[in-house]
Amino acid sequence: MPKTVMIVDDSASLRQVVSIALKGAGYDVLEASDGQDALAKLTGQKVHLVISDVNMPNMDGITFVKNLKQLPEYKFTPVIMLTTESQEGKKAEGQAAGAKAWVVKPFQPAQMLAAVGKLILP
Amino acid sequence: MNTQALGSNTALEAESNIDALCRNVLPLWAKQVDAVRGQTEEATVALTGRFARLVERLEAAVAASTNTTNGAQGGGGMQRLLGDSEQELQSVVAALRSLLETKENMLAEVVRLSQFTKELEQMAAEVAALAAQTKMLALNAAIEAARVGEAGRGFAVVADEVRSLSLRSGETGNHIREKAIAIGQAIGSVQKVSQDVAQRDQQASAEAERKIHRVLDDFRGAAEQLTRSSTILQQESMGIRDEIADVLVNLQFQDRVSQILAHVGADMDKLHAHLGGDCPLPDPAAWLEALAETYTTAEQRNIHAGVDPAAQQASDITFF
Repeated sequence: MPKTVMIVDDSASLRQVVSIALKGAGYDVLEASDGQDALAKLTGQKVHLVISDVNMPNMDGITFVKNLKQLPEYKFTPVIMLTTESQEGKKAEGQAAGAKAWVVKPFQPAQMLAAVGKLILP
Repeated sequence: MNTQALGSNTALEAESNIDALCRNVLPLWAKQVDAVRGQTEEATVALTGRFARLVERLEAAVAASTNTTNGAQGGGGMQRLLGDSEQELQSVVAALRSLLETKENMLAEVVRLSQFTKELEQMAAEVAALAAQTKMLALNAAIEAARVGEAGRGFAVVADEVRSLSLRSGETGNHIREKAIAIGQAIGSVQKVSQDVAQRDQQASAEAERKIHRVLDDFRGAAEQLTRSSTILQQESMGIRDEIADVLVNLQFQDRVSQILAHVGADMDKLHAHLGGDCPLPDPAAWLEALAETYTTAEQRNIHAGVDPAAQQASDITFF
């Protein structure tokens, strides 16, 4: 049974790039265009890991992770922040919200897959 | 109107013109920037999708090639087919050899049979010789019986019967000899025909074996060539996949470009809103400070600080 990864990003092209890398490695992929969309799409789903952008319309990535961690079924779901932001202050915000890793775009697909493999729930 | 008043009026007029120009041109610039952003995003999505399909087709081609040479899910593919064919054809060769061996055994039996017919011929000759001796004995007995006269009449009858039997025995011995000779000749013919057939069979079998080995060698050569081609295809495919991975890294520029253009567009809209309203423009330093707050990329901050905005390289991952 393949594991499911959700990618949350307002950029369709970026979602597609992440999706290609993940599907190529055998993962199922769910896509959402912002935090609000992601929370709606997570209902009734079994997601093993979330990759989220930070700067998005409607609900930003940090707020989304904070909301995600409030949901009992996603309390321990690992989150990787994937963003253009590289400032230490922002990274600290992500860590405080509950993220497990921080990746600055552009990312190497192989490195991203290694991180997903390391963090994804069994 | 003095010169100072005239200058002041000209400055006010120019400011009004700039204000009017900005109010008209800023929305256009913002729309152009937004259009560029939308079109680039659309093109990048299409391009990324094309690369995704390229990767899928490449992987399908490599999988098909690997299945042909090595077999799907341990099926064996070309190598197993080659092994199976070799085994089948070797069993055909073995069956041909066994058939030849049987024929050779049969020929040896025929040769042994021809020796029996010679013995039979010899025995028939001995029977004929015994009959001749018996005939002579019967003749002597008849002479002796005649000499005795009336008393030897009964013995003469017996002697006559013995002579008659010896004649028939001699004839039967000759018949047996003739038949034995005929059988010997027939067996000799069969032996010759069998030897010719055996020789032809041996040649045909050797030729079949040579052809089978040649076909197997050709087949093995083709399979090895196919395996080499498949290996090259897999190596090339890995190279192409690496190239595509690099392309996918580079295609992520769109996200950065889109964010930068979105911030520029938003700042134009903000300026336009200020020009259209009654409230005075804020202090340039405050404006720039507010603009800097919106930045999300390192190159935006570098440009703002007057530093060379080098392109962002693929970065390491920070684990918390």
